[in-house]
Amino acid sequence: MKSNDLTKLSDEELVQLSIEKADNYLILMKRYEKKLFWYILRISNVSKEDAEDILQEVFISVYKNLQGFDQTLKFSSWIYRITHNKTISHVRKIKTKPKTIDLEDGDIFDVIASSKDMDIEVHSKMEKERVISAIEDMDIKYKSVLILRFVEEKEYSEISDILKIPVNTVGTNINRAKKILKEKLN
Amino acid sequence: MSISDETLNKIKSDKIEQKPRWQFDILNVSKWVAIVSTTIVAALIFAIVIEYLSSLDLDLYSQSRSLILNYFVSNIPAILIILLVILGSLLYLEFKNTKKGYKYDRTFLIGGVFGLIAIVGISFIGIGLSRSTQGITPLNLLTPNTDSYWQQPEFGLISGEIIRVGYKRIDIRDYKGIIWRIYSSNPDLTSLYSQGENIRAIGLKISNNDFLAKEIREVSNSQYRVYIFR
Repeated sequence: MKSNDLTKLSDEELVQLSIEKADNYLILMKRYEKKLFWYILRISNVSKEDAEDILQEVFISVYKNLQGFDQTLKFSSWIYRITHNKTISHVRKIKTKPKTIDLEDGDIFDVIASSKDMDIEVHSKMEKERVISAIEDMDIKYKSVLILRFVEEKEYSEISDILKIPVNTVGTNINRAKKILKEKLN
Repeated sequence: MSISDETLNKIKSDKIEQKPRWQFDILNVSKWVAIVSTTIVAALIFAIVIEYLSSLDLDLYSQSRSLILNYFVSNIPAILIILLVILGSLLYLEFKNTKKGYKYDRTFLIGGVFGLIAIVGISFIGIGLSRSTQGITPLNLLTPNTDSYWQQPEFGLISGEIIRVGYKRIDIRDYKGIIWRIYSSNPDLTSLYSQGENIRAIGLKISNNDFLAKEIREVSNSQYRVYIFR
């Protein structure tokens, strides 16, 4: 099969092909490289170099465990779950201090802040900085649900699969996160 | 070079292998084996606790108020109950670690786990499994010994093994080896009791080694035949 044809395949089909031949795994990695790289940075505040290391660790771990992939799960949920867990354990290991996020990296915060659900309007740069700072200070439990919901645009069931928590808890955590954010901003 | 390209190179150069499918299958099966085993042991303990508690002479609370607290505290099978809670918690964690376990909230899982233990335990009682394992499993040894409670003739309680059955009288040897003459108003004791059986009597100590029984309970595999003589 030509590589152009391969790119049209679903993740789950590519998993099967990657089990047979490692080269096919490259397409899966490329498909998720950017998304996961930014996800790591957003939830952890690690440096870009650390994020690259974590991502490589994720890809290798996923590759090793490809044959154990649960077909009832979406591949994206599975790879996000592994990324989330690897990032958390990395952060625990190095006990990273939050870094100041450049405003250009703050796209995520714009998305969250301007979400209709959030009912928060961010007009000025100063307010944008307040939102960034408020989210940075949040517990990772709340930060990750906000990012997965409003930036990665995942459904509640997918967030449940990624974070391995019940769907109800996803909803509760999102509401709490919004409340915390509003309180911090007020 | 992108991280993806670097990773593929690393996979090839370091000859990183995928874990074979059977490893995941074994892990999955072993998780379920652990769940089934934990459920069986927990349910057996539950059945033993229920059988033990139902075999307690709870009606005796009315016999002597001063003994109520002592009786209650000394007869709770605390070790088994603690063991049951530990196994229940273990079962909860085992369920939580199954592929879909995270989908259920804590309250539902805890309720489900203890409900499962109760249902299987009651089934064990129903088929007589918990009774038939007496003396086989060490679990029964963890129930409190009620003998000392029944060794208080001054409070109207005596128990022991029958060594002779006569007219309106039964002789027993208590757990300390002392011989007691138990008197009863029933003339037909020989048809009810025989040598070697264990009995518990409730009544009044009338003198050293003489006891007037108002009620005699036969002890057999945690079940009682009760005869009341007024």
